[in-house]
Amino acid sequence: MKQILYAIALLCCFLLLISCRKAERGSLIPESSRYLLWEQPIREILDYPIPGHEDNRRRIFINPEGTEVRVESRENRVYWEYPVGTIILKEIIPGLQGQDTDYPFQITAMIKAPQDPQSRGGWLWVAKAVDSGEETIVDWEFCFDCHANANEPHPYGDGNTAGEFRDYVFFPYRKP
Amino acid sequence: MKRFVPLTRKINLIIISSLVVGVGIVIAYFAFTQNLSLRQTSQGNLRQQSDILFQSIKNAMLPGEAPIAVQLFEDIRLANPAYKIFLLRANGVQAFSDNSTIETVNANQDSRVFEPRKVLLQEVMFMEEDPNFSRSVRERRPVLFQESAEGKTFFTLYKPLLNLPKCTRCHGSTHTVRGVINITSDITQVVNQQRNNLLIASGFFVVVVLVLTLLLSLYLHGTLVRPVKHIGEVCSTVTSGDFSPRVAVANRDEIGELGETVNHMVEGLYERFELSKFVSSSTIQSIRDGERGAKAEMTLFFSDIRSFTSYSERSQVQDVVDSLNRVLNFQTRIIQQNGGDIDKYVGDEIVAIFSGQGKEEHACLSALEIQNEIMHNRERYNGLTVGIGINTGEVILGMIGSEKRADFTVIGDHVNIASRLCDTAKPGMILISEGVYREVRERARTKGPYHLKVKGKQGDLSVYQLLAMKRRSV
Repeated sequence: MKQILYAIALLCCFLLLISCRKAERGSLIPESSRYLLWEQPIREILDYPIPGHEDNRRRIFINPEGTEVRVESRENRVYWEYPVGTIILKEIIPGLQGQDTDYPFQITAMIKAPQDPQSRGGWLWVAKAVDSGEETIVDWEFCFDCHANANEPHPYGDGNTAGEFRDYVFFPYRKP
Repeated sequence: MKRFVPLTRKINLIIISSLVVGVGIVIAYFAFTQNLSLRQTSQGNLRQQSDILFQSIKNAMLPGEAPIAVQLFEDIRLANPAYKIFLLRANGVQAFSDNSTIETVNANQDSRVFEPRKVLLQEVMFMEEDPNFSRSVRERRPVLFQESAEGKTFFTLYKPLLNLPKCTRCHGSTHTVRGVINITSDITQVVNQQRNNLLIASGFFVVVVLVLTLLLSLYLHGTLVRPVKHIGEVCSTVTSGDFSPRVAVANRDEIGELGETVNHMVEGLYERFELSKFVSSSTIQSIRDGERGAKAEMTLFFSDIRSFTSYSERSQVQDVVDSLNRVLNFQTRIIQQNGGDIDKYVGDEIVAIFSGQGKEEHACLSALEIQNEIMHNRERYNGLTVGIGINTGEVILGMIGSEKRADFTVIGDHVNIASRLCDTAKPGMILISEGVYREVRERARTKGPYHLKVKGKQGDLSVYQLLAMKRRSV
């Protein structure tokens, strides 16, 4: 009888400990075999230096959910709104020169998830080191502050000269 | 067998361990959360301040108003000496210490946008060797840490100032971090407060545990330990033969009920003990064995005070009772010392039985000792004398009487003969039957045989007067 009681007590302690552990997220960035099938908001590889990615090339993909972006005008301003579940993924390829087939060393992604407590501006900002596979949610200013410039005139792409609210996306997806 | 551990120790152990664990967890939790809250509040304040500064600097820099940012830092330092605020370049050199940034901006703009400053900072800070600074630049994220120096404790925050797209026109696109805001806040008071919280919580914990232990211990001692010990003491006293103590029942609970039960039990034991004085051992044994009746070989011993009726008529009642009890008492003692068992008292008569090997000899020795005692102590027994008759043979033992009142006694022809012998014996005389004589004749000195006519018997009985007997050597 005593042994049974001890076993129950141990089980309770174990369950209590387990319940205290934070639930781990699964991988947020999909495998290349998936995202290489997605649309690209801009076909070219971006090969000019920018703060954040510096002297590395970038190649951008958007998942099918993201292609359903809504664009509407309210109070004399155009608003772009990507649906929840949108993933805009950026391969970071080393160097400003190279082949189109070069492998990326890092993949960054913005995932539309406004309910997530780690989201900023309605997006989860994620960086994955390709070698280690380690994913980091960048919940500090770094990604968010830079991409906030996408909502005002900026030096990239079409420059957003009209100051549209681009939902933090520098190269918005436009349906063909 | 397990080692004896006093109940008090067990209860105190349970109380103390429960209180230490229970109160300890609660107080530790509150102390921990309070300190955590203090720490988080300090950190939160620092982060908020850094955010405000970050936005201020960003907005001051964009229109090319760097001097406003410099003045802002100076004003904050003057307003609150507990803060140290600096803006560092990504290489760790304090900003505005030279004109290199102005020269870079002018070069990127291909024009002289800003005039080089003539008055530069006198005391320039270098942070490049600080690993937290390097980490903040490398990982492009705020780094907050605690450090102590000169008896004081500080929170220090390095927050990178990013080279945003809109900054690139002046500052270029080749770098991500333009600078790092360094804020140091003196949190010595907060740390002292945390330490005081822990000390107060520890003191409170000790006091609460001690007071509660004392109160609970006293309460449980009064309601549990003391009553149990008291019951144990009563039981020990009863075991030693003193039936007078009783459990003082103070509480209406299980212990109280136990005390009442023990009291009932002691009363029952006392009644049985008292009853055993009036009931023969064979009766008690037969009750234990659940016997209803049996035949057995026994020696019957009858002793009767001679001329007791005339003595009682001429003496005071109290004297009669005292004398009778004295005579019966010493006879009883002698009979029991010789292994006999008092079957019953019938007025001034004693009926005793002897069983087992040597029963006839034991009965005869008892009779001789009784007569000897009376002969040498006539005054003590007020001149009373006894006649004794002894017979041996098969008798019937059984519960004789009604359902409400019965004695376990002996009946049969041999009992009657012993009684007749007793009736016949003169004062100081011991008469034994032929059967007894046969068993003791080798060691006994007797007179006889005499022939005695007994009512209901054909022929005479041979009887002997016992005069003396040698005790069998052990």
